Amino acid sequence: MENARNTFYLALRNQLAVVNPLRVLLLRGVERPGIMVEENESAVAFAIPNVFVLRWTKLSIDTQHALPLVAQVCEILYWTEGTSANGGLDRGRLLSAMDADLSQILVPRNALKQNFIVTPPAAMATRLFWNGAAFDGVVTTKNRISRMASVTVYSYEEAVEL
Amino acid sequence: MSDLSVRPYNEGQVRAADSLLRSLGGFSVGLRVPTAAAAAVDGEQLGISSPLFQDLPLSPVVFRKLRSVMVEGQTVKYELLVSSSAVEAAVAVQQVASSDVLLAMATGIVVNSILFLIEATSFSEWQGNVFVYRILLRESLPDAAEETVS
Repeated sequence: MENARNTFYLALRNQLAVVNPLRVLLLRGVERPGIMVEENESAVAFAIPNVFVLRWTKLSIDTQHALPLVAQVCEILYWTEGTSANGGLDRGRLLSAMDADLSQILVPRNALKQNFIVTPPAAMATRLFWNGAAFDGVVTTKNRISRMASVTVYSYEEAVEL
Repeated sequence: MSDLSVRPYNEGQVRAADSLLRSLGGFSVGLRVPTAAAAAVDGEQLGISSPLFQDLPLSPVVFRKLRSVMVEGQTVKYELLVSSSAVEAAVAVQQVASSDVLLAMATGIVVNSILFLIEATSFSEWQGNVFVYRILLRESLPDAAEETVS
């Protein structure tokens, strides 16, 4: 399961670097594509705008297959306040741009699973695949607008992972 | 009535804040910051390898518990008053652009070996120069511990 989560994150991160190289975040002195996994970062109270935050929630395992089929739900959260140069009045446009970025980085909808515990990362035998994003409604909090999208990621648990 | 007289800036307010904070205890705490991330290394982004942390000393400070309305399940909050001279020294040590960046990258404040999370920061300034920072903290407790306590 961990390998599938790691592979999914890196697939989206690498796609974002291609789709929109200007969407970046600065974390601990290093600039990187504007996407991160919530559980892998420190519990800072300062949220970063205009980036994607991945949060893993539901998990189910279907054992009626040759290999157990794992379905993991990834919630992708993002928010913006617009730009100060425009008085924040462009926040709707920026959120739409993030919607579009997210739709694009989810393509292709499959990737070869990799094991990142070993160095260098080792390719595994199966692929993981995911569906399109299910977008929730926009939530407005003062001058901040946010949205959450959900993606279900499917992967097979290989013998070495059991 | 506002004071519109023209005065050159001096560090009197900073020194006054230092003196006041020292006279109220002159406590010392640690600002816990991670070392710089390793570029082009995926392990840290995947939570596989943890970064190293260091505690930058901040002194003088005053640390106090906030008087708050008691709500079940809510953690106790604390306030930390920090002299700007201490923060500026930490900014210089870390070689970051500003105190905002420093506080944003901090994972918390260590007080007597206990980690507190930063909830919010604000500051007081005179003639555009900060002389004291106010940092709102809460205890870094797991949910299970909170339930046990309450």
